[in-house]
Amino acid sequence: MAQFLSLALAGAVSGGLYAVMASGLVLTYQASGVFNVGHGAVAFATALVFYVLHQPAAEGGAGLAVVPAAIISVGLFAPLLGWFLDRFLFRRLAGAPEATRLVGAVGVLIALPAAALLTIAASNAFLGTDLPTASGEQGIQPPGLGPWPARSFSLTRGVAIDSDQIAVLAAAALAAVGLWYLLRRTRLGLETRAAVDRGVLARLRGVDTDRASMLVWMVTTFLAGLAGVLIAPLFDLSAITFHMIVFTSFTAVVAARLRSVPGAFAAGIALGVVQNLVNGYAPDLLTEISGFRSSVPFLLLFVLLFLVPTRGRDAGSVAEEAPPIDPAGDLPAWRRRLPWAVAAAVFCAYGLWIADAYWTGILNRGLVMALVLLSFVVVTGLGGMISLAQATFVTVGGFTTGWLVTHQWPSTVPILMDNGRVTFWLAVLGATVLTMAVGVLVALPSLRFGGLMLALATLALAFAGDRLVFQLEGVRNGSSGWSIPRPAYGPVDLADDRTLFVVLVAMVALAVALVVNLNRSATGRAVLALRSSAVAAATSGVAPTRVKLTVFAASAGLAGFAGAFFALVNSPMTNTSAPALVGIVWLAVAVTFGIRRPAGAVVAGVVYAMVPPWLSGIGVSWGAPWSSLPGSVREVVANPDLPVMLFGLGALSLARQPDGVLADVGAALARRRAARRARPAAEPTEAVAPAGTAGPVVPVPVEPVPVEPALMPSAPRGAGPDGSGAAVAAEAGAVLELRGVYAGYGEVEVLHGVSLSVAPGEVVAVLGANGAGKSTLCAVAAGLVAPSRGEVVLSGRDVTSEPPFRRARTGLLLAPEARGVFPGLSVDDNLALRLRSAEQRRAARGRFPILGDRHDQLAGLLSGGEQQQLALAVALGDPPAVFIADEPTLGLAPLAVEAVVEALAELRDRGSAVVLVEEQAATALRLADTVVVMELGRVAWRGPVSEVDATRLAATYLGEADLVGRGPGARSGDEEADGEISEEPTR
Amino acid sequence: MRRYLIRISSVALAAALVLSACSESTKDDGKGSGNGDREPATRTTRGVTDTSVKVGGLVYDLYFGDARVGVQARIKQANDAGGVHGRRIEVVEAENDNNDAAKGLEITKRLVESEKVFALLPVNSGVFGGGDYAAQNGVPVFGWGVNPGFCDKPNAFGITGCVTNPSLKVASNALGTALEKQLGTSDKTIAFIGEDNDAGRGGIKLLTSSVEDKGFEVVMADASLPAPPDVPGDVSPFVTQLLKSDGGQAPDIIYLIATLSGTKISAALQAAGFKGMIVTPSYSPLLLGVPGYDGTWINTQLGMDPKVAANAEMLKAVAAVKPDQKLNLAVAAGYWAADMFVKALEKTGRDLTVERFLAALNGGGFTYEVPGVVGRSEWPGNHEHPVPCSAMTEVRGKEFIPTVPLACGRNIPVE
Repeated sequence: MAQFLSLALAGAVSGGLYAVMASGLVLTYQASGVFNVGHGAVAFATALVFYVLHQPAAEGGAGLAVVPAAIISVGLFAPLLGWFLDRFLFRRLAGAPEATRLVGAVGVLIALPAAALLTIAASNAFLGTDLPTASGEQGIQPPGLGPWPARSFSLTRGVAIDSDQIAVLAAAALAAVGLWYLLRRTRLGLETRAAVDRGVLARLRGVDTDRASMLVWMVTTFLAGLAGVLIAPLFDLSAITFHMIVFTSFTAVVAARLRSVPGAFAAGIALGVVQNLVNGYAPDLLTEISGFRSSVPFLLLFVLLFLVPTRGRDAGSVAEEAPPIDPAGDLPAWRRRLPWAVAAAVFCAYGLWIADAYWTGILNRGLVMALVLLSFVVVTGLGGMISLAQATFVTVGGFTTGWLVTHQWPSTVPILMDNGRVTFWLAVLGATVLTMAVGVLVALPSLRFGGLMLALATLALAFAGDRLVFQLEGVRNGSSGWSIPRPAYGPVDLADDRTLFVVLVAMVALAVALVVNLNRSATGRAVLALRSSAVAAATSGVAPTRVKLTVFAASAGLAGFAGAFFALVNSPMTNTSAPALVGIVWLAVAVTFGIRRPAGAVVAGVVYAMVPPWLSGIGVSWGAPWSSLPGSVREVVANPDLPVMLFGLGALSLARQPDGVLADVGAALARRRAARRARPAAEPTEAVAPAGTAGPVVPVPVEPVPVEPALMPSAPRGAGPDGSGAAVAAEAGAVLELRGVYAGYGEVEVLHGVSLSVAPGEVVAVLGANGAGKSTLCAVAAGLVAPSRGEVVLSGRDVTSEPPFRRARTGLLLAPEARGVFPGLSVDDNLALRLRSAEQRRAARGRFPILGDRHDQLAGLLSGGEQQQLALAVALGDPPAVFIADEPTLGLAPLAVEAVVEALAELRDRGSAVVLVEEQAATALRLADTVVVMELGRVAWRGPVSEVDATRLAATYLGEADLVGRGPGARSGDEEADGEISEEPTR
Repeated sequence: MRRYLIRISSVALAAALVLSACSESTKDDGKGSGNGDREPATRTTRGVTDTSVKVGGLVYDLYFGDARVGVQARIKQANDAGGVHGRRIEVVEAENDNNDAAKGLEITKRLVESEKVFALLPVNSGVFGGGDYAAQNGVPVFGWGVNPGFCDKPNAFGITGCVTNPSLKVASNALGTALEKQLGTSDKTIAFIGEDNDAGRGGIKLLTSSVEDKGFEVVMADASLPAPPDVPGDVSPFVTQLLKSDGGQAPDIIYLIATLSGTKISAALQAAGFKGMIVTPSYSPLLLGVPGYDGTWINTQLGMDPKVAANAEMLKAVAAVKPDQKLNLAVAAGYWAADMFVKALEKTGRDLTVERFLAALNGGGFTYEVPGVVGRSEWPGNHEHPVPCSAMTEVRGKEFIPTVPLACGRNIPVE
């Protein structure tokens, strides 16, 4: 019993490792929506910096004492790294699909340790330093912050905990408490949570989301760095050790539902206890299965995924995801295919007639990689699911092929078999089918998870597969693995690399055709439907599970097919030929070149195979001109970390173009084409067309000069009905003014010179049909959309170039369409975000008693009317200078509509300038002092509410052209551009 | 859609047929292949000129990086003495395969097909991805046979034979022999613990046979430590198991095979008051001074006593190419692999082809031995089994104290 307890205690202490990593992961996920699988890389890099600083000068280090070394590495380097990652990577990925964000983090995982080691190697090569890397010295534990050597405390005989472990636990506890306090009890924490919940709304509420994100990244990298320096002495200084600790701690993260920092901490400790008890007490029956002990965390992770429901995750897909624009969409089909055909011909010619046997071999491996990466195109590019088990499928395919071609059957079947052994081609078929079956088995339980959870489920399966299944002697054919002889059929002898090359080119072409076909098939359409709207797809008769299962199985089958060839070119195929970790790198490579395009996978596969030999050629083996490079340069080029870093950086480049390198190239070409076409057309109007808006696709009005004065606001001058003539903008008393605003989305212009002004205590109703540009008007006023021309003046200050949060702080509050609440925050938090004093919050709750009753509920659980009340309470608690309500009554019950009307009236009475944007004219007209009617991005009519003619208004909605002509401030015959204006895109 | 698919596939197939016809017409002229099955008349002279012979290899830097220095030292000696049969040996510097099979295969193919090396020297890695390729193409391989690429392959020559035959059917009683010499008796209990991977499981099986053959009693043989890349958060559960393995008591001897956690476990054993003998295979000067290393014994396949004449000569040669190089297993393995290659060239004679070289080595009668350092291997027999010799060294403070000079037993079958 004493031993049991002390083992559990020692386990709890060592669980500090997982606790500190898991809490950091949860924090970043909460704060930035990024599941930072690269957390261990940050820890490793910081630990390495500490090590270099702390090593005695005699051993190449800087010889600093523990404290300054720790301050520089943990206190300075790590937060700076966080700032850098946030600024240049994750902030830009904020709106990207989940797969892309995950791959960004994978990029960090891959590139950062390699970059750190490469920096040391480069410094040693170029600057003549002798910095230690600490890798290469097995079993050496670098000193940490604690005493060296570590002091050990014995619990019972054989069970001891040492000072380094205690240091980790203490740091982890401190970190968890600090983080919990930061997130739940501070203003920064509240702003951060709001920013994660609804980033745009948070900005509208005055939250500087960029600053919040930056601070959180700096805090988490600081924690990761601290963990790194503390953990290093427990193990060794190798990146993979750190990654494994982080991967293991995923179990704790999932146990904490990705939400609770204290929960993650506690789960981390519990994981340590479980590990120790399993290691100490698991029955022999289980422990004799090799790999059982180290699989426990991953099996546990998988089980937890079932037990722990996760909030708001739709099964299997990235919801509401818009397909990317095809930059080559304007080209005829032959023009689009020509470059590929030429490239393929050049590639084949090179492989057949120019490359020597060595390079043909490399190309063959590239083609096999292309097959492997095509399976990612199916599952992630088409299906929108992130699978981290593709390497497992490749191994299954390879092992199946190996077993099939080596197994001796008692009898033989002509053609299919050769002397009692299955032929390679039949084995390929067998591998494909079996892997597909395995894919179905894996998918059936996992598909109910979406996005990140599916990724974690597949990762858990991949690790468990590596450790349990692929360790079985019969499965992997012992340590020597499966050797697959190159088959020969008459003249087609695959032992010849060139023949194999031809066959592989044909296989890749076949696979590309299959993928393209799948994309265009009924299944492909169903998947696209699911990805753009799961609910709509389901109501249209798409069975989500069946469709996803089909896609997942197809991808697994393709990976198994690729696995057969993988085993052929990498013979012998062992359980270390395609480990789970490599599968993660593959995903990064596939996404780097564009996960949606089969061509991207092919290019990625070839590049992936060719870069390392190129680099070692330049660095080591090639003669002139490379041999004339300085030795130090060649040494760095040949460093095995260089290609690793390059692939990692490739994944990081997603921040620039989330659709991959090929999309980047395609977009650049499209721009060049557009520029070329635009040149002759643009010349005559060059003097008039404003820079940056003269897109060739959607022509803007070429003669804007007479338009402007006609559209200038007339209402401010006293709301006369006949406000025509050149009104001057600076109207005394107006608190918000839009002056001649042109704005739109990309190349589509929505607002064509709109002006508007509103004074304190005034209600301006903006009416108009769907697509008139009302919401865009709101967005421009709040700063969400930057106008291409015109200005926005708030409280007498030009705020045109100010970000939303600053306008919000100046006193502009926009309640956006639908509900302006943070569904993931409690009612109290929703209020506190804007209403800083308890007094104001109390007043707000007093105004809407239901909010007081439900103050600790998540806002997302309130009814529609209650949510609208919450949104109004946020405004009423501290009336803003300007309140813009975008369709506040949309979809509300009549009683709830009344409450909204009352609240708006109250705001007006308390001095707010109110802009009420409505499609429902009746409600608006009850409140409005001034009415602005918008039509197709222009102000069609404006005047006091008393002059509104209901018939004419109705005509506006029906789009009668002649009405516009009669309205003041409008002109007739300006339809020239209207036909091109599409409905404003919804967010 | 189906028609589209059929069209694409038929185009691809047609292209494949045309291309393969082309490739047939330009079929490889067979250069560089020296398959043993071919006619003895085949003369593969890849990398051989009248005045030189070219070699190159691969090493796993993390463990075996210093093997390069050893190779360089021995080849310099040979070249300074005028080469072998009038040929200087050119060395392409060994690349790091990072213990990655794919990388190893790529390096192997580059060395053979682009660099055109005569033989691979040294191959020192935990895995050897080019093993099948080298065997299929009859490329001679020299190194330390710690991976399956050195087993059952007529082209591969490990300085201590095939150390761990993947069949796990043959072992040597070298460990038992050395322990018996060290202790003067075999009436002792011994517990083995290793990592949960190939090396751990296979190693424990063979080592168990080795000591049982000499009469030791094995009370525990577990490959239960988390294997890299996994790490044990806490070694306590394993330490408690070891300390109770002899019917609730501590055993006399504990043998550890653990790359990452070895010193941690031995430190924990020592802290828990274990007074018996802790044995590991880790001979590394870098570990001197690390807690848990002091007070252990090291069992090595090579004699590591610097006072033995052959080692003294090696150290002199090594110092000539890298003055601050310390003696470790990697540098020794590189040096003796190069030495074995030189001996093999000498045996083949002036007329050097791959076929004649392999025939000379595998034709019977070729043996390799360095008294007191490398046990006697006999070829082709040692393609299948290890050289049954080992030595013991004690770690005392920051010093290695040789305690049992290289002692040889015999090969034993494992059931």
